[in-house]
Amino acid sequence: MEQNINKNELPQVAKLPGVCIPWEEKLREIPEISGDPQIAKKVWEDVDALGYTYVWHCLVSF
Amino acid sequence: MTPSHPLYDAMISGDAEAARCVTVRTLAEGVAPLSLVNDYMIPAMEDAGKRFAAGEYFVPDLLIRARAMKTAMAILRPLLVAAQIKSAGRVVLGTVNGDVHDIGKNLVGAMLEGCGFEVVDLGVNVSPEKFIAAINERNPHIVGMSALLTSTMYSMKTTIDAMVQAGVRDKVKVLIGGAPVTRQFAQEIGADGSSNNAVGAVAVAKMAMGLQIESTAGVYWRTA
Amino acid sequence: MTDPVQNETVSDRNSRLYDERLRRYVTAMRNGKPDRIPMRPFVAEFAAKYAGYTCQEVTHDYEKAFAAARKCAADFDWDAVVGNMVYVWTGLTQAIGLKYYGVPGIDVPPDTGFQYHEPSEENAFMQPDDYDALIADPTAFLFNVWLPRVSSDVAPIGSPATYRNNLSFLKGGMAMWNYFMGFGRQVDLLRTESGTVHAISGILKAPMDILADKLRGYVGLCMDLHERPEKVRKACEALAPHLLHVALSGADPQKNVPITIWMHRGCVPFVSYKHFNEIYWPTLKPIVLEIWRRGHQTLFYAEGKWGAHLDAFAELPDGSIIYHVDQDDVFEVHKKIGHKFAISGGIPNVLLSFGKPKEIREYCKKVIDSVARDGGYIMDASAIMQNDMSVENMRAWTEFTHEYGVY
Ligand code: B12
Repeated sequence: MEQNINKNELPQVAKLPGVCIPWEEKLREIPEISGDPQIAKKVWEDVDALGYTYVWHCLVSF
Repeated sequence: MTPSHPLYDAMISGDAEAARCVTVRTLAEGVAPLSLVNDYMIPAMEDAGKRFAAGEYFVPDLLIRARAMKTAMAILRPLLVAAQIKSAGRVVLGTVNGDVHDIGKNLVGAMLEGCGFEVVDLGVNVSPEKFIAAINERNPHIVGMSALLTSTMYSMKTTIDAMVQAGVRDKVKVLIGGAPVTRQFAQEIGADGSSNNAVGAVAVAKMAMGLQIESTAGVYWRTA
Repeated sequence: MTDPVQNETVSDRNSRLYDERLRRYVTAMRNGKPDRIPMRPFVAEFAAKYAGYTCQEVTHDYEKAFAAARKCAADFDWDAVVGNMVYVWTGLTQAIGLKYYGVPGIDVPPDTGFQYHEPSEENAFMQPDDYDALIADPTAFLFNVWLPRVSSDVAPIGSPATYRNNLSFLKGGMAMWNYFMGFGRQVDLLRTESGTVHAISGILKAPMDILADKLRGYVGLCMDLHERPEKVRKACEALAPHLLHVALSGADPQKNVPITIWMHRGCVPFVSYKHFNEIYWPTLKPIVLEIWRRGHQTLFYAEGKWGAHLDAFAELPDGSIIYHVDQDDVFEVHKKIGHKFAISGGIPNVLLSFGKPKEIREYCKKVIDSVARDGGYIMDASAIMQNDMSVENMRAWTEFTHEYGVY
């Protein structure tokens, strides 16, 4: 039973789906955020995901 | 009875490197090229084909064995030609115009070659003109056409019609195949035979050459 | 007494039709019994032919493909269609510089469908020694190794930047965006112009299929299954979470229509039972389960013959998939898994394209009488319909499904 459950789960991967350059990596390049770090993070991630979508759709759809 | 020989074993296990080594060594020992083909290679490919037909083997199994067969054949072919030994028949093979599916056609080609035929592979997207040119240049006994799309299967008819026009239809036997091809379709477009699998393709090619065959499963051959 | 439907405006009519069709289609997909059998034909180049376009026009100019699909949807009384079943837009593939497509009107004749040219084993886009890099970081591998190989314009990492390289990303990115936006509009137009449901949303491929299709090639994959099966399994595991992500990112937010998986080479005779059981299925099943956990169904577009694996599919929760029949025996499939999942397709394309209307009616009657008897069936051809499909037969087939498909 235990084994069955594991068999039905996705394996963990090192690099997360939806991400090309993780925010943490970008953050290291930024000296200091004076504004809201959450906005900066969210927008970075949303736009970064477009790059991800591009290359994966090249592979899967086209 | 399965022949026991390292070449047979190399073919059965799909070991291309072993097939090459054994072929070179056995030839050096003075064994005739034709006997290597007839006694070990053909039985091995026939065995693989039978297992495929029985659902025991899958396409990868055939591809791996075909690769071993081709490695040995590359060494043997020039020797057979030099000794003027005739193949079981010469087949011009191609996927018709507008169609690029070639996995099935390549398997058919490998099985034919492995069973003693000489195969001239014209590739994919082959126009009627190219088939006709190959008939004139290569003088095959058989033309084999493959199509996987319902939208391209009628290219087979166009090709046969063009062969009639060019006056070469009677020089060859025409065999067709591919997933959408039925016995009825083969009849309708004036092909000589068809098969829905690679083993049947060898059987129908043998029938075209007037040779004996073991089984006619999955095979269509026009009657008179 | 006045018929309430008689005086309705076109827009009221379309919204009523849309609601009826959506309910019908979704009910059948959930294995229920709607008012009548929904029809969802996957028409590709047929739509072009019907609307008077060449293959070049619909493949190279997606607005024409969209227009053709809408014309079909308006003229035939179908419940659901795909906005552009030809799908590949070669304007986009040219912008990226993709080498593997034969473009109608350029590389192939204008009225031949586009072609995907699989490279020879030696020239595969991914080589056996690339496995570790793919496994370590698939996204980086795609950008840094794969794209430069599949594109004539993208410069390999470390080589000088080029004008073509820079343009490829800009044009490719913007073209893809345009196309996806266009698809969104198309979904709305289908609803408002003819009350037709967009049949599917979101794309999935099995990890092993994508490895064969776009990376190693099928022959390369076969050799790898023989020589390095462990790497194949690891690569499939590495791809799986990404393929799930891509599928979910395109899924229907309303959770009505399914994500579609286009299943190519995991079936008999492409891989052995062993490889299916050890690699293909264990790296696909968790994806399908996760999609179901998120509330979406998956349409198994099972190209070829998958009958040997029905027991494996039956491990999935009831209703989690819709099983599309291509070359399987639709009656057998229904017997084996019809109690768990809805079924679509199973009407041979050869019959539809070249048969007589009478033969089509007879065959469909048989399918309706047995497979569709208790609901859970969606009428469609076995495979994608190209320009060989006859218009006359299409009419006969549609009419018969409406007449005889009423429960
Ligand atoms: C692999 C594949 C592809 C690959 C082909 C790669 C390649 N190098 O071959 C790619 C991705 C390129 C492809 C493209 C397309 N494909 Co495709 N493809 C398939 C698939 C999955 C398998 C075909 C196959 O290889 N079968 C395995 C071999 C071993 O079997 P076989 O070819 O039938 O061969 C055996 C017998 O028929 C016989 N045989 C074969 N040839 C001959 C010849 C002779 C003389 C004899 C005697 C016997 C014989 O022996 C063989 C061995 O046993 C099928 C679906 C399926 N699972 O069947 C769809 C399928 C054939 N494709 C289809 C379609 C629609 C397309 C595309 C149009 C899709 C698109 N829009 O992109 C393009 C068209 C490209 C073109 N112009 O040709 C449809 C056809 C629908 C229809 N209306 O007919 C199918 C049925 C999928 C589907 N369900 O929709 N495809």
